[in-house]
Amino acid sequence: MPINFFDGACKTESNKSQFGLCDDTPPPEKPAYIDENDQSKWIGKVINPSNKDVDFYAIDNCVEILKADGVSKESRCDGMLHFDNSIVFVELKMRGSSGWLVKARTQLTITLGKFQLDNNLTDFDKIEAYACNGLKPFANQGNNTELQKFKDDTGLIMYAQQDIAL
Amino acid sequence: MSKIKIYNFGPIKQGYHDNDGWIDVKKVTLFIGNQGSGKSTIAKLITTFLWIEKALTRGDYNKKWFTRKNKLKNQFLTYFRLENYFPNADDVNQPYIEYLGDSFHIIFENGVLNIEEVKGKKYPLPQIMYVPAERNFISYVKNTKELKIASDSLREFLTEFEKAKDEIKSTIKLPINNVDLEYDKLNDVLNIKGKVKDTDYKVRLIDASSGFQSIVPLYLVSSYLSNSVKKQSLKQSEPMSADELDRFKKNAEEILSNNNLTYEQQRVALSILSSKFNKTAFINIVEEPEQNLFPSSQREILNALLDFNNMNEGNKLIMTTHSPYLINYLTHSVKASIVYEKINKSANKSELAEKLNKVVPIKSLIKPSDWAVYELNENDGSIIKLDNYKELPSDENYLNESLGKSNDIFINLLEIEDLCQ
Repeated sequence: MPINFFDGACKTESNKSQFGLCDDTPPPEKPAYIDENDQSKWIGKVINPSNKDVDFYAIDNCVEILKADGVSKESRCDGMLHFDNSIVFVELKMRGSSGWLVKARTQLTITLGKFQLDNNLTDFDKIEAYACNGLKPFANQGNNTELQKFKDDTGLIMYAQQDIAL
Repeated sequence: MSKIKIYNFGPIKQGYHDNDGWIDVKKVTLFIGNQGSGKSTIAKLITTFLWIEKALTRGDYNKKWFTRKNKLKNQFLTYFRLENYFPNADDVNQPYIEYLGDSFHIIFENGVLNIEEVKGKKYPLPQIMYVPAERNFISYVKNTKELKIASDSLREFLTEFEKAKDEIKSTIKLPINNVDLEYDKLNDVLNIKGKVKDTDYKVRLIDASSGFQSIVPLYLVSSYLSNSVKKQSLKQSEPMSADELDRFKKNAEEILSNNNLTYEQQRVALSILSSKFNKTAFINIVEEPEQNLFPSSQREILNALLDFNNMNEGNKLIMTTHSPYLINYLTHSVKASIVYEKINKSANKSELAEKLNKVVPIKSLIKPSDWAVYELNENDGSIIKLDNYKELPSDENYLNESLGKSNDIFINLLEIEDLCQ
């Protein structure tokens, strides 16, 4: 059965010129969501100067993605932004130890792979991926080869930064 | 390509474990590691063996002269003050150094050099320059000519610096801060000229910021020597003829047999003599190119050094560094070279090349097979070669990891803060 990445139950939305993406813990099973008010909770910050209508679909803890064994859960990214005919996959990290980007890249790569099973990437105008870290708004070290690995695995560009400019 | 094996010399103990111990000296070679791990020691040993190979090839001295007991220790290593890096005679771990170049194979063992000729390989006669870390010293003294310098390597660098100054015909654009370098020959003063908000300013190098004092000697000498070698190689790309070699040997013997000359004077005389013979490669060995520079300026000086390095096929750039930025910029030059290959095969070649040039200057590219980064560990005196991901230098290098750790320390502080009641 195809995985429904556009499940209305997982959706939060905004058209503000700036809003945040949050992933509160605990409890860990709560899906990620959009927040327009409390900047202290924002892990990813979406810059939306033309006030586009943006939907955020949580994936982790909302969409069931299983491994090939059909039982255990696949490691996936936190969600995706959908606006116009574009998609931005997002992984949100807080207080990640060293290696946070390697983990984020893996989650984004797996999710994209699953997404591609039922969706044709060329149907979209733009597909991007962001690995945001609330405590590391800018890449804290050179990540050249991580970016290259993502490009090799998915054909897409992964941005390792907190601000997501639409 | 030259290569070197080093065991039990100064901070280097175990040496390099892979590749049968051979450290490749590629077109661009970097040594990174903590202070005291032996980065400079390797760079200095490579320089020493390159000199010996050059002197042997050109016939400045013969094999017999070099193979006298303690020649390396007492005459060559004193240049870099490495003569005291030898362990006691009763130590079982005695130094072993082996160098394999395009012209000579040299082994140093039990205090003696063993030398064998390598036949059939092309050997471009190199101009070898060791740029010492203390180079900025010459920028903040008023009269460099009267300077008494204890360091031989700095003295030689100073000689080239003076020659480079004499060659300045007009202002030189420096690669940083959008400023020019001007030489007032009459007063023997170097000035930095620039603009702040449409107002011109001029400041003497002696009074300028430490970044300029670091970059000017490095840039000036590297530019002068790479261009001089380029000119020489354009004039005559062929190696020395047998007749030239004979003439050189005769003149060199006269200098060496002249007992009125000190060793240092003989060396200078040989250098003047050898300048008559064309050099076709510039080997630039630079200690910490990043010295006193802001990250973006580090990028500019690296790109300039790479540009000089690409002027001749046989040129080499060997660097030691503490800068994670430098490794990242190096990665950009390798990636840009891979992209450039693709651009050359694409239809919109000129448009894309222009685009690429704005990101990484096309003159500063590094071919994927032309780089090597070695990481030195001061705890056990070992050396490892930095891994690559699809020909790109791995992010997982000592310097990059150190940069990442600074955020981990901050996270530790936040965690402790959270524990406060």
